Amino acid sequence: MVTDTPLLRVEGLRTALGSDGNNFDVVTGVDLELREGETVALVGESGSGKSVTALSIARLLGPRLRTVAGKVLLNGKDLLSLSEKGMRQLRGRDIAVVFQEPMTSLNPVLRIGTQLAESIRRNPVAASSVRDRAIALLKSVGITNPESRIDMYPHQLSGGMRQRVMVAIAVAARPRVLIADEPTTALDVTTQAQILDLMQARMAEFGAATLLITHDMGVVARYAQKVNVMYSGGIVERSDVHSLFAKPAHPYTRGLLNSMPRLDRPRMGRLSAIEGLPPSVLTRPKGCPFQPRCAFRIDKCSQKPPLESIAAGHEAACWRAREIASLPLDDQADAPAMRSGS
Amino acid sequence: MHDATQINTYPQKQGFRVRLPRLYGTRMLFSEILSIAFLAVLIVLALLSPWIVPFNPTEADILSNLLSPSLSSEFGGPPHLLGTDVLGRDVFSGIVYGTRVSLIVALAAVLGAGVLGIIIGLIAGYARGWTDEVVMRLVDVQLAFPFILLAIMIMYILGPGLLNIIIVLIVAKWPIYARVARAEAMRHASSDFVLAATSMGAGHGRIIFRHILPNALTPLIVVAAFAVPQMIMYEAALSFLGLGLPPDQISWGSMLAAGRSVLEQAWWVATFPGLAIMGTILSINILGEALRKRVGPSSDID
Repeated sequence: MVTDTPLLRVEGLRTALGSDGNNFDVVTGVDLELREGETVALVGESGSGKSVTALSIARLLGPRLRTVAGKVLLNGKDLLSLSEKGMRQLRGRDIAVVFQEPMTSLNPVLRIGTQLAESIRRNPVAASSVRDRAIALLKSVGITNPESRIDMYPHQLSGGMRQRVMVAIAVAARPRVLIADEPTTALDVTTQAQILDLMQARMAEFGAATLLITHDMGVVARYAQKVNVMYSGGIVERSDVHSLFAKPAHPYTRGLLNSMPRLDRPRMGRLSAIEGLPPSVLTRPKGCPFQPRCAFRIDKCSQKPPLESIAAGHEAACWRAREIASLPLDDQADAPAMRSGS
Repeated sequence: MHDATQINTYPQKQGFRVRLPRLYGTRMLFSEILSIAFLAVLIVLALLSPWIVPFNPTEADILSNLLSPSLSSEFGGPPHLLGTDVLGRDVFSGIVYGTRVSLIVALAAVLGAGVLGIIIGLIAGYARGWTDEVVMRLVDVQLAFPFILLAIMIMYILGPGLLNIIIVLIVAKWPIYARVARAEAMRHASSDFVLAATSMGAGHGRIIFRHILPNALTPLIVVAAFAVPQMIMYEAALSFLGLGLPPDQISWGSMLAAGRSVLEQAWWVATFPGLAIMGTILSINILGEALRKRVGPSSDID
């Protein structure tokens, strides 16, 4: 049930670190669109600004970060211009977040039922039915024996269990948009798949949209319909899942895909890695932020390339995007250059 | 292999064969049981004092002044177990009635100062910014002010009385709780579960009192436990200085003051109230330590 009008639309989002006058952009102008029923992935390595983007959208930034420009339109309403009170009313009901750390995201001194009840009560509900709803929710996220687990404290549950509870809390008020900030990074692989499956199932029930933040391309391939690749605070490539994996147009995306082990290709010695480290916000290079690590670098890269369409539904921010998209993956032409220096 | 919970920091006396019960996994000490017993007796005395005392503790009987402690009565009637003071008032009855004053003052002051300080401290630590600045400067001023001076000022304005003593103690002691509560609020305000609660639409009040307060409570309870004997001592000090209760009401501190002038002729007038104060403070401190050992911030070290 994917419709044309986006449910959530982020325009030119810029979030900066530091006090006034001395700003370092952590997020350098991000555009995103989420439609009903859609799962959109935001991928990138640590420090690329994905979590800050997520927190900016939900307006949950800490005291040192500030969104300095842009719009976050939810059903046409700009969240960034809402009052704190207006925002609070939307939270949970219109936009909910699942965080990375299930071990610490639950209050250690409150029973999980109590915490679940808090978000159930975000919508008007009879007091007598809260407990039943909570038990039903726990059951729906695959917690066995919910009648007794509801009275447990977080420390009595495993990490996977806790993340299930977090998902239950997030979906309890039936949000329109769910932001999942690396929801499974702290969990082992089998648990990861279970949690993501049930998160999708719950969201599909009421046609909500999910912004899935991850650094795991496997997760992207399995769960997302659209992908945004983020590097150094900006989106460098945006595409539907199939063309991204088939024809990556940005050297960074290409590097990410090449650095994954593949079962469908013969082994070719060492996995290639992207050399170097992503730039810090303080030392971001002029022009294309990826150029110091890039095997396809040309002189023009000292100017920042815009995010441009290279095919239907496929955009990339690289001067040589079309050319790179036509190269076969795992082409050894670029691999040695990328590995040079090791 | 030994069970970690069996580790006791206090050396066990050799040949001491009585196995005391455990509390929160740590074996109780003999001193702790003794303290509980002492306080239990005090509480019973405080509750039942009108039925226990042989004499009206404020009624002067000049004929039987400065009688030494004795089990037999001179003029018939009940004996003066702990003697009488310079006005012939029964010391035992005074101590029993004084228990009420001490316990009421201590508990009310700890509760009042605790509630006030915790609310202010949590808000300051959560809100940060200028709220925090204002509150913390106020705390600094308050803590820099000598207690007796503050007490003299306030008692002079309000006049003597039980409620006014409690007010003085609350005014003097809320900053301690505020400091601890503020530190705890700061620690938890940036925690993941507070962020998660915020993301689900919890307001400031809910976050502070529902999510942060229960997490901050453990160190605060320990602070409060150690504050109880302090309050008893301050009340005694104020009454000793004549700043506490009006003369027609009896307290341990005022009895101590009354006994000071006759210490050479009649040691019992000052000694027994003094022992009562000492025993109570010691007992509560021992129990406070017992609590700290079991639930306090450093309980994993012990």
